[in-house]
Amino acid sequence: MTLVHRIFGGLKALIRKSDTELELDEEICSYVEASATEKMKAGMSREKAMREVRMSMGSAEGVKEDVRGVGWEIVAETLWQDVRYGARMLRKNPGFTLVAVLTLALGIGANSAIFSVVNAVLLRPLAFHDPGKLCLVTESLPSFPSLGPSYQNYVDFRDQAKSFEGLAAVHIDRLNLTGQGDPERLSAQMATASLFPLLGVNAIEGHTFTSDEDRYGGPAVVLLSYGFWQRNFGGTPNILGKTIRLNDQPYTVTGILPAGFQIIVPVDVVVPFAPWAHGLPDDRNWHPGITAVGRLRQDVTIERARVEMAAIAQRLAKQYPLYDTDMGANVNGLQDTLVQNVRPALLMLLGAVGLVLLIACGNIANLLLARAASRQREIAVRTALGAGRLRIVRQLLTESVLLAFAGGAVGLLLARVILTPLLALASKSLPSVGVIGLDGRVLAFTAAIALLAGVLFGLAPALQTAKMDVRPALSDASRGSTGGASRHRVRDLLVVTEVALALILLIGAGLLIRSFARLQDVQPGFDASHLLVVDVPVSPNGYAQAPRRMSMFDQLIERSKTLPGVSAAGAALILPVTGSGSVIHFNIQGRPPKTPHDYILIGYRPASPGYLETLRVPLLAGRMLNESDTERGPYVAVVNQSMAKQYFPGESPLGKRIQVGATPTNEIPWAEIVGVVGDMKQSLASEASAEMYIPFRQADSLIPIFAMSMVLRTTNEPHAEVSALRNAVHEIDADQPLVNFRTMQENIATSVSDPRFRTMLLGIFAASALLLAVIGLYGLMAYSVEQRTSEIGIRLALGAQRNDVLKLIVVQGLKLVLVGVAIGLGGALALSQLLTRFLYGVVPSDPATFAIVASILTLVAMVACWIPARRAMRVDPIVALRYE
Amino acid sequence: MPDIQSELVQGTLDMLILKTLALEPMHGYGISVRIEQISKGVFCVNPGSLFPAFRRLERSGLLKGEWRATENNRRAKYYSLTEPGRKRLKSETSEWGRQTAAIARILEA
Repeated sequence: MTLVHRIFGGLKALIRKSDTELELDEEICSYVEASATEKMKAGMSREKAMREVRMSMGSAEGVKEDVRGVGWEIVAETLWQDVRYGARMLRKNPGFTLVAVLTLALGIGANSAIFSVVNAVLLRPLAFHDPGKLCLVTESLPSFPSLGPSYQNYVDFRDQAKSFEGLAAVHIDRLNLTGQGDPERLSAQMATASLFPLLGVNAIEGHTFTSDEDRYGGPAVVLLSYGFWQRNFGGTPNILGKTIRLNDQPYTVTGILPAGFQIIVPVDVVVPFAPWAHGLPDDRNWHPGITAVGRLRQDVTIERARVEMAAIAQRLAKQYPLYDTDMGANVNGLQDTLVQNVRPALLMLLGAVGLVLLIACGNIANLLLARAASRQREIAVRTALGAGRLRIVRQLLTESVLLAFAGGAVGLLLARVILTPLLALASKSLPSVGVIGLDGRVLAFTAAIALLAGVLFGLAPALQTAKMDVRPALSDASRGSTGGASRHRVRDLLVVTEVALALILLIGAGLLIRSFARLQDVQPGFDASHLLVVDVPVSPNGYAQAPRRMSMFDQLIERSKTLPGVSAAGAALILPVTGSGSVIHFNIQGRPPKTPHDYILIGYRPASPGYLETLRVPLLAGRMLNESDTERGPYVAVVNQSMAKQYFPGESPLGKRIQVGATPTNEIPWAEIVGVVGDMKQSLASEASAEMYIPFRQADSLIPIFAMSMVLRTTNEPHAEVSALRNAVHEIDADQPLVNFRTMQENIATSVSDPRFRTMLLGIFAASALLLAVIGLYGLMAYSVEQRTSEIGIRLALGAQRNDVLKLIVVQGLKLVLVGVAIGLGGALALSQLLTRFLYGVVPSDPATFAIVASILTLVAMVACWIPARRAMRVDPIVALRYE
Repeated sequence: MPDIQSELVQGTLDMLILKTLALEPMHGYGISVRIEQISKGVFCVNPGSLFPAFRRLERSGLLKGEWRATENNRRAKYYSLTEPGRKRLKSETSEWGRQTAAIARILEA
């Protein structure tokens, strides 16, 4: 009842404002009238009576203001007034407004851009039904804390675990698409039929796998991704029921997956899991790259699932000691796992960009403080007319928030613009999560930080302004004084803070840059210039027979060697500096392992003859691989220096015999170590590890090789040879896809794309921070010089040298800078620890970086002080004194 | 006017206005005079608190205002109690009685 009254009363007052006001006016008039009449009855003159009434009542406006303050509508009303008044003030000072809005737009825009990445990658839930319940189940072994389960263990996990509504499996692979124009290498997944209902995903055309399709010997069927369907078939639904050739086998298209569907990575096609799993060896220790996806039952927490899976793993370890000894099981949230690598970098960047905004806020606060002096009269008049202090603060805050929202709006436009290059830079470092853009959440975030920024930079100036004394400001003699020492202290404090924050960011960026430079200086162990690289996957069906496959690779290498412009060529299963690798167990003759599962693991690098020579890896002892090292000839291996040192310290490994991929067994031939080569790095950021190079023809009998990367040393720019190589390969097999032509240097650059992304962004933020802080310092000094003009004039008139004046101003600024630098150094020392995980070859407290960065900042800051100081030096004492 | 004028206890002005209006509708000045007279000059209500109180009580639906001619043949806004206003007065009066009795007991103890 009363609430309704209040709302309607308020609305009526808002809508029929003039009526309400008139009524109030009249009511007060009648009160005065009645009051005066009463006094006149007591014999007072009318004039005197009216005077007395007014004296006792105080200002009629004040009473009205109090009455207006009763309802809620007054809040909306004054807010609207404040907004209009604020907008008018901002329009009246276009220069100030422009500078402030642009500064804020930079700060807020950068925040919005980074936040939209954080939002899409870290915050937005995956596009599945109830994604919070989805988990990945992995195995853990003593040497590998987390790897996809073997097929046999996956089956046992699936059948025994009760914590999950279901456990589905995915394997990521590649398939050759032929029979439609140029042969193409498709990214593919093998998925169990259970996967789609588990995720809550339906086909938009046709249907997902049935259990009859997901079995060995079932019909060969394929689901197309939305993107692949659009790209290759123009999105026509009549593709359903048609066949496409994958790895030289016909597959019937039975469904189209929805746009944006992806599990772990986006793929072109999905085929059933069981036929692929059937081809796996019956070995629990064989980890072919299975991703096990589970959905927790509604009443089960992830901790309970972990306990259960650990128990199952223990049971399996007992049951299969030969394979599963020491095995454990991990259960982790799907989204957490997908983003775990990128989360620290993104949060670091979000923090950094937040500091940039903070510095921007400092600058605006300083501008507002400077302006406060010139607004003193205006504020004083308002105060004298009865505006309370709170009212003035509210008015000034409204103005700042208005400014911040304007900055936020421009910032959003800016974010839109910078998001495209940002994503291009980050593309290799971010997990694929679907669209990254400005959605509702980014808008809300932007509004929130704009509001926060507005209050942040507006509060101190507003309080300062409202605090001042009315009388001197109103009197004509006062010429807008400087506002006392406290305002100076606030301004100094702001600049000191800005310098400190900028230094922290600069040191962070400096550390990353030094670390990145170290990374660039790392010698990969071979000559990476003039190398063209391409992946050559042969069809597992077309080249199912080993002799055919081997001679295909031989032909490819021989043919490419004869190309003009190519001086050497070779191929290997795994290239250096790719970050990935393959390890295999082995044993050394005469040193059998103590237990069957006590074998040693080593980097496994099947390679063609000529591969090591093409890379120009130095031969340290013995010989390289050559053409006679085939499956018929004696088995050989070339080891790298690390392996020689690790396993044959103090002796020559040449002539020693090893068994690859085996605990001692009679079935596998012993291979003799015939050569030692220099180390090549698998990752620039880590030490080289023990590796051995096995002739690919001999390796193929151990694990069949269906894809190799070819490496060509060219005399000219490597990309110039692409078409010649393509033609040469298609002369041998027109259906042979060639995937991802790149130079070795590009390959290396890709391997450091994560640190490059981080370093560049932090560098840009730090540079903006430096710029903002220096502008802030410059603004403060220039303002100070202006304020002190008369003082400087007096000093000069009294005989001070111009250089003394210069020194006076520079020292004043330098003091602030040095305090800021000291605080910043402390802050950086504490905060740079957070960067440890991103640093290579540099400690977080690297003294050189700290010293260099601090000196650069101080130097730049001195220039910012020097320019206004020069102006001070040129002050004409006569003019300065007259000015007063 | 006595030298000492008591400040009204927070919230009691509303109650006094309601009580004053319980007898008959009155205009603003009349109400202030009545409160001053009945309190024998202890409470002197100035317009700065009176008018906001009217607005507050009117908004809450406890009073309603009406323009009428005064005894001096001028127009004035006369306030009168609404039904909820009467109820509120009753409940506030008994609550006040309870509280003052309790306070008196404490002070005499």
